[in-house]
Amino acid sequence: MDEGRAADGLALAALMGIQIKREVAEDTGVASKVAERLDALNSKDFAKADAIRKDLAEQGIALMDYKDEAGQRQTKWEVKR
Amino acid sequence: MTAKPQLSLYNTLHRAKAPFTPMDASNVRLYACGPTVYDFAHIGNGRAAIVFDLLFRLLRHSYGAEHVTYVRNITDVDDKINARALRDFPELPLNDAIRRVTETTAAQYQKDVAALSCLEPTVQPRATDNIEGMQKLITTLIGRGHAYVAEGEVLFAVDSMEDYGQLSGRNLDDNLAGARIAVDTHKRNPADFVLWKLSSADEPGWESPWGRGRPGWHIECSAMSERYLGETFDIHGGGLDLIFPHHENEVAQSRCAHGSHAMANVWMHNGFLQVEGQKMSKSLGNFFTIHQLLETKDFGGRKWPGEALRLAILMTHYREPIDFSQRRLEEAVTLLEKWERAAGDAEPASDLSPDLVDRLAPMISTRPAPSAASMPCSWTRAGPPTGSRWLP
Ligand SMILES: [Zn+2]
Repeated sequence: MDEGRAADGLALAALMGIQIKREVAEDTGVASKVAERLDALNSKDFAKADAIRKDLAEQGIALMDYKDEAGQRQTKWEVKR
Repeated sequence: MTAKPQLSLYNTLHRAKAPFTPMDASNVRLYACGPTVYDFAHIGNGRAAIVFDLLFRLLRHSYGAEHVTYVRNITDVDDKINARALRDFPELPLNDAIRRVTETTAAQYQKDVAALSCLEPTVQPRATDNIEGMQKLITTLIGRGHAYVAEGEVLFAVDSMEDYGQLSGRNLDDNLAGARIAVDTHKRNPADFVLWKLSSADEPGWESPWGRGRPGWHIECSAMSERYLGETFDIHGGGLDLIFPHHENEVAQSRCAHGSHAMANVWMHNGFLQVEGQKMSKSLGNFFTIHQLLETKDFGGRKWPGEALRLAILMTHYREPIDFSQRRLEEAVTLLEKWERAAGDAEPASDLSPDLVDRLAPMISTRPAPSAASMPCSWTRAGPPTGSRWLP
């Protein structure tokens, strides 16, 4: 992503009165939950992993699992609007 | 100074688009009809607020924030308000009950439109604070032979104005030929409209030369726009449904009282809004307030963020009809998430390049238009946003 174009886009959106970036919330314990779920997955405790995912989903948090360059399972998360 | 886009505006009065030149670039003057404060604002009211807020923002960007005056009135005298006051606060004296209705509703409106990122207009006058100005206008209209008193009402005589009907394109013969209008015998012409009417003891009223009474609906905008913007100003806006009779009658009152050639030079009207393919109505169950969309799960089973509502409105050119739907809101949310991801750590540019602003200006000026959605979208794509599904 071109930094300059992103900056232009954000400014243009601001002129339209549309705030694209949300305030970043304080650490609400999501990161530790995500780590806990990753541990559960790695130890094949799928019931626990699913429960955490469901719990987070109810708070509007979406998880995306992926493999990093070393082939390790990782999880990205974001707050849904 | 940043780029100044040349706005080209569609003028309902001329049924054509023309480059916009303000009367005074150091004070660009915009008036939009605001809410009648008897009930929560619905999403159609939200559209009008958003559209004229966007115009306000573009004017501020072009002429400088200090050089634009935006007036949006609050109609706090209306028979619907009286009825609501009697229904909701039967135990209170009428005046107190009315104040309760108008104050809580007006406060709710401010909260709703703020959540839709609408800037506060420069002035938000209330009709009840401008009764004197209305009475002065009415006195002038009577003095100039444009109004008369009949059966406890002061009426505007449409026949006294040679070009009455210009804005809506209706002429008086149409009005008569179409006549389902009940023929009021006290009216010289059935199209004559009320400037002032007498109030009974249990209706709100103000002393006046014509007896204790209250103003008709149209006169308040003539009085308030004159007070804050002058006899002739740049742009007057509102929803399409206001062209006739409201705006037509505003024009008649203001021009006949001031002997002027125009009330506003440019008249802009936003298109209708439907919900899920049908005209919004309480009986169809597709009537939604801004508050419901923001704070309850009544629409589509979830709350919607204000910026998604705003984008969902701006995805359509302001003059086109909108079919407001759950799907449209979902698309807006998806776009916002996509843009947020693409923005990463970037901060908004402090200065917008002229060509970027030129791409935003058409949202207000051209039709069909490159949509709002295609604008920031373009920087998440490799090429120009021609693939955007919102492009006509
Ligand atoms: Zn008005």
